[in-house]
Amino acid sequence: MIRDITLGQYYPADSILHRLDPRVKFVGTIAYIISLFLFHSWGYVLGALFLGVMILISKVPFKFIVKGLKSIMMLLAITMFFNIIFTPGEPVFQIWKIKITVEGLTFAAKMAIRLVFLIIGSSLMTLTTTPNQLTDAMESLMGPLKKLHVPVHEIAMMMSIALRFIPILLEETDKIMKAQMARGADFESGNLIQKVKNMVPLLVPLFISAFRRANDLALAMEARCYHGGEGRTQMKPLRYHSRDYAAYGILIGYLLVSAAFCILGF
Amino acid sequence: MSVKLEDVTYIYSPGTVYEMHALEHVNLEIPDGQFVGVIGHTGSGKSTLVQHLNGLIRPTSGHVFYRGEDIWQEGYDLRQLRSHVGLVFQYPEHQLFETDVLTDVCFGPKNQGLSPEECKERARKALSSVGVSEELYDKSPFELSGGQKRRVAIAGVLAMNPDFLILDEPTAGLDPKGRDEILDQIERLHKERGISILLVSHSMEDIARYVERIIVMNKGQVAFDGAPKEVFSHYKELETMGLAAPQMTYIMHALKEHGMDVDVTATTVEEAKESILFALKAREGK
Amino acid sequence: MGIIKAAKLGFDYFRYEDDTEEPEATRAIDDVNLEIEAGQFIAILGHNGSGKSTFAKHINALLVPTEGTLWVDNMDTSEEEDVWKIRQKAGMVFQNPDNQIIGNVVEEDVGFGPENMGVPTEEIWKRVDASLAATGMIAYRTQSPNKLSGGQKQRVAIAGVMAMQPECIVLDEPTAMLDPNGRKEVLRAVRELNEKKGVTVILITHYMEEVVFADNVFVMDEGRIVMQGTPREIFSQVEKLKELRLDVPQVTLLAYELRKSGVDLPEGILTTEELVSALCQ
Repeated sequence: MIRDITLGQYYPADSILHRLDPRVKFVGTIAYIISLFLFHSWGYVLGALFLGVMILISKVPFKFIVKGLKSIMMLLAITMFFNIIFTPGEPVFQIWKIKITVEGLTFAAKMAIRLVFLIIGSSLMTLTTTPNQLTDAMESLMGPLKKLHVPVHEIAMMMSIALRFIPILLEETDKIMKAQMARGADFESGNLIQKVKNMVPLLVPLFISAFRRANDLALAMEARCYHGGEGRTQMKPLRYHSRDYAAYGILIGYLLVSAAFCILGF
Repeated sequence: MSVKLEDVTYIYSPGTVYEMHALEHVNLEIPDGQFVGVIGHTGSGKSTLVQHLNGLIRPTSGHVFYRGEDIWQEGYDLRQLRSHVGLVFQYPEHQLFETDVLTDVCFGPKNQGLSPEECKERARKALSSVGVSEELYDKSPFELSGGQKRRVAIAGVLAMNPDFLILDEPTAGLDPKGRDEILDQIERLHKERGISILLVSHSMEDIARYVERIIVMNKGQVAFDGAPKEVFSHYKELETMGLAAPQMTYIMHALKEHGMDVDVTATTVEEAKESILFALKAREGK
Repeated sequence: MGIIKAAKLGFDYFRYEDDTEEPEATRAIDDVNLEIEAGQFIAILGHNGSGKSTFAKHINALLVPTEGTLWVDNMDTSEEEDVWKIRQKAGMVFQNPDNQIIGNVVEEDVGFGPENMGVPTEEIWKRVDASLAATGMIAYRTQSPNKLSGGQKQRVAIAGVMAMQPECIVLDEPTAMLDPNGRKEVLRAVRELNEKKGVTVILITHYMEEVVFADNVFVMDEGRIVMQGTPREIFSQVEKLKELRLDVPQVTLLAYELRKSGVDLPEGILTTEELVSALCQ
């Protein structure tokens, strides 16, 4: 079930990471991802260390994070497989026409580590930040783009509405599916074309319902004086505290060390 | 014996923090031809219960029997079962999807493997039995009024010729006349075609007026099961379950308290009227 | 002049089809004249499709009349520049509890209206606290709306409107999708707002029992106001209401049936107490 995916789902706890300004966490995640691409070999130890410390202070159980990784195992396996077989170089052994090379193995390992770190790193952000804080942070960070006529406020509002309606639409999907099954619909058997055809009784009502909801919501928003981002105040405006500046300091330090590692060839 | 639940327990998301016992050791038997009402507070397990009856939900433990056969035994045809036990969900008009009314109603019979002619025949019969007139057959279901859509959706299940029809709050959101019309049509189906009906409703007045047996769900268990008069005599207990008795029950009790010799088990306006008239006559006679 | 006044109000829905040149007009509101005094509890009855929802949307300037005028607190709803002032004056609660909650957290949703109005942050918090307290939802402030019951969601929606400090609140079938307990919760919250805060309430419903406490009732049919009066005056016309696809409270129906059978009872009995004292004197 889609609902069972725990990857990046907010984990309520009281930690320094939870209390940090969402903008810091957002910038930090990007900084961390950049650092991962700077490392050559031993740098990954630094990356692992940094990540380990962050997980520790986030108070999110390690088991919970690993459980979320399960859903991307398949993706990971596929990338590794392709990296191994398509990287040219010194062959270790050969099966039929496929050469397994030293370069391929190291490259695949590197990519796998990078990918796992990247995913844990970014899910750590979503685990410790509520979706609302995240959209607020994005709206605030993308603020300068408004000058380029990017509809920043609208994008943030759309994201937050999507977050609100995803669970409702999932539940609705389940309900419509059951109702059509009660009328003898079959969503499982048949070939691909048959299956797609069988989805019509599910998709049509679902789209109609989504449009009806969108229409209702637009009316409700208008009725509550919504008229875009202009002249709007915020109930929970983002304000930096001293801990946020300290966090920025640590991030800069970490990035500098990573850059040094890169130059030194670690 | 038509449908039978034997020690059925159902647990949502077992083993997680969201674990919830929706049904606990439910035993029920609904014979052919009954008109049954199911009442219960939101979250009492009544929706989970009705979905067990046509095999949409598999019990965590326990057995469901239809005509004596365990519906979860190896090789049992669940799709066949669903054409015998029809289920109309809440707001069924939200499941309409075809371009015209007749084709939408044909969806069920088509899934049963009937020929196009037979499908249309069934659809026409079903539509006329819920009072949808012929000029609407070619219209898009989305152009109809709320009450008409509801009827088309009910016809969509009826066209499968069920022997047993479950309706989950078929009158929600309709105006008073619309409510009465739908319930009257359901009652006619029961009387004329002998279909067993299971009606889930929040309206005690509707339940009192139509059904011959009430099943009260509370916290995933069957709290009461019996004739309306019997069940509503427990109106104090029903209140602790977030339910109530029909308004007539309260009126009759109030009258009795004030010294009028009325029948407190009257649940419909008709019964209450008779009883009050009788009591008044007796009073004058003294 | 009352807080809401309609004069010769008319509204047409237009349906545009590709093949026909002329749009097809459907009359949704027809020559509606009414005046509502500030502080009243008003109920509007009518069957599905009688035009009551369309009328409600006019009060909030979500729809603009095609004929006649509607004033909210002396402001003409057709005047474009007053739209936001009108929407602040006359708040609106809709039927489907899921489709009108915007925020992902209860308190943030309640703050949505004030945010749009440009209320300063501190003041928003005060208003949110007060509205949540008034609707009895303070304990749920940090929860996700998805976890609430229908009645609770509607109370959040009412709190969201209250935080805009309107003088009038229009509720368009707020209880249609709720169970009896949810209906009671919502009705209690609405009555409290009317009695304690003096907010003018316009309640649209087709549950007759909810109308008994109203100061004034309007009944609509085919876009017109066909009946008007106190609940007692309205509910004493049982036959006429039935013709309009409506009903009367069960007590009233019983009293009516008894009267027909020759029992000496006053017209338009609305509560069990009234019936009991009339029968057991």
